[in-house]
Amino acid sequence: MNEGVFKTGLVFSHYFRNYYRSRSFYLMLFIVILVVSLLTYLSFRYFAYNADLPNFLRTGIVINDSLKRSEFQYIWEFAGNYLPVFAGVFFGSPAISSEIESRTAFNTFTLPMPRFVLYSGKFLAAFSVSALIMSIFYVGQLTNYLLLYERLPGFNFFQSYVAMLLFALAIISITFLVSTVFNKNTYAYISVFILYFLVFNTASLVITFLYNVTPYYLLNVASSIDFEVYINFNPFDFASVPSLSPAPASQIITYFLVMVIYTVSTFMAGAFIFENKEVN
Amino acid sequence: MAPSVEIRNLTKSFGRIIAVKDVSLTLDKPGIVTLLGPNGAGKTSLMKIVTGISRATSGSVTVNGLAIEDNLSKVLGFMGTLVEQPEFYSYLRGREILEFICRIRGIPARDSRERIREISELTGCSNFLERKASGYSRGMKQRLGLAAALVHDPEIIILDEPTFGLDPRGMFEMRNILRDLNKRREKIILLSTHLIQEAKELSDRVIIMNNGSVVKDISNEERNFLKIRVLGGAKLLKPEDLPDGFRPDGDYLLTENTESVPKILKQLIDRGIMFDRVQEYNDLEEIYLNNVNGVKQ
Repeated sequence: MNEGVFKTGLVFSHYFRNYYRSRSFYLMLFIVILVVSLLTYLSFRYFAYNADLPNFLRTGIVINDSLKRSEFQYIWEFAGNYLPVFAGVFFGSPAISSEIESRTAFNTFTLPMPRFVLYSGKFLAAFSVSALIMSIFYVGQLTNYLLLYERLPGFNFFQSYVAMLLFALAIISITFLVSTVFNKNTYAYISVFILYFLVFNTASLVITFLYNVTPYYLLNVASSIDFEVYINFNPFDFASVPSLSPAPASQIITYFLVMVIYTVSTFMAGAFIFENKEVN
Repeated sequence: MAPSVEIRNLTKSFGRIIAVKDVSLTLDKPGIVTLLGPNGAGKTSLMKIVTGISRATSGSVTVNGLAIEDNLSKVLGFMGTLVEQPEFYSYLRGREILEFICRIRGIPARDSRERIREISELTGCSNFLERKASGYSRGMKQRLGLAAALVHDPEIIILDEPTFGLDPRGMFEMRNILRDLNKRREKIILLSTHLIQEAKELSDRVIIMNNGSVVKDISNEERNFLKIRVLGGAKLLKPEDLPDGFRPDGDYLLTENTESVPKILKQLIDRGIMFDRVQEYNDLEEIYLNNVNGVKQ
């Protein structure tokens, strides 16, 4: 086996172990269980009896069983949309800055492996532990769906899962990039929150209102595809006409590509900065 | 091939502050080489550059003939390092940390268990290897850090203040470990300290640093003197009466030629110089104070 791949695997398993034993992991687990519990409560109090589209989605069309199921999945995904952001902040933001702040860098940076290997292995570990958390959410959704509708969900369930994983990849890649810039965890945490919740959201509002177009190239817009695969409606997108149909394939592919581009570009930028990072 | 570290005109600056100023050193003889100097002298900055954690503003470092800028991973393979006070991932056990280091350093899984057993016995960390690092004391971290630096039996060992933060017993044990490592004179051990006594006890060579520069580079032979008290005072002797290699210093005659004591004493007797005390004298404190004037420690 190629030495770089072998060492990346070693770094991955080492950090994955450290991540899943960490307080951050248990905090994320608690958040996911809480969200799944609340949505389970909603599912059995609402969807099991009087499932009806909420007012803001009503368009006067007949609500058939298929649309009811889509609504169920849409609500679950809509509620879980920010989970990758929190996972990225918990596992990605301190990835490099904590090495400097807690001084573990003096042990890890002096090991005989390229920095890129260390960066990649750590990134994969952070993504895997986030994917594990996301998967718990999807298992919760799937269980509820099976109990309520006694049938397997359609292909868009799989599309939604892939979208959530791609979003997690992109947001973790961004958090890693931010983490390479700072030597203190707090700055890395705050910067990611500000970047995502303030900068992206504000930019999306500005573009929508000024130019009346959907800024599909912004990550917060592209990430909405995980619920738009059920019902093509994003309540934060004021430029699009709401639709109760699933997002078309072209939109899904475009949004997936946007997330892949974010992942690759920020990963490469982060790896470059990390390669040249000094610990003084 | 014998290990070697070649440092040429190394400078490291942070804006206007110069941490390391045009340092050139050659370490090509196995043994303990100590960087001695007050806090802020540039010892740690120099070690960080040699271990690739930090980059030089100018100058070069070559390890076993390889420039570190172009061959960092390979160069780090020759080295075992303990720079600054070691810290570890809180949620991992000492054994897991050492296993990871063994695997990254190319020690096969089947050999790493035995190697970890040996090194943890040597460094005194066997009894806490199964505990998570979050519960380690300063001394435990220092021992595990040393074990991590030595687990692959490196030919070049770089230790930044290895006794820092240890209790007296821990310091004593750490120094014994270093003496053991140096017994066979196979490795270059570069350590830094601000403790003169530690440098005196352990080193084959002492490099005194101050304000980022090397101010004195002395081998063991150079700093060991024979001190002979002359009855009536050495100053009474005329320079032409002094045997070869001697110089007067108050009541004493000093010589660096400590190996031929009987011959020297015979010379003194033959010249009718009376003496009543012969002692070995290591003047590192004096050299240090002469070269690091006015610097608070």
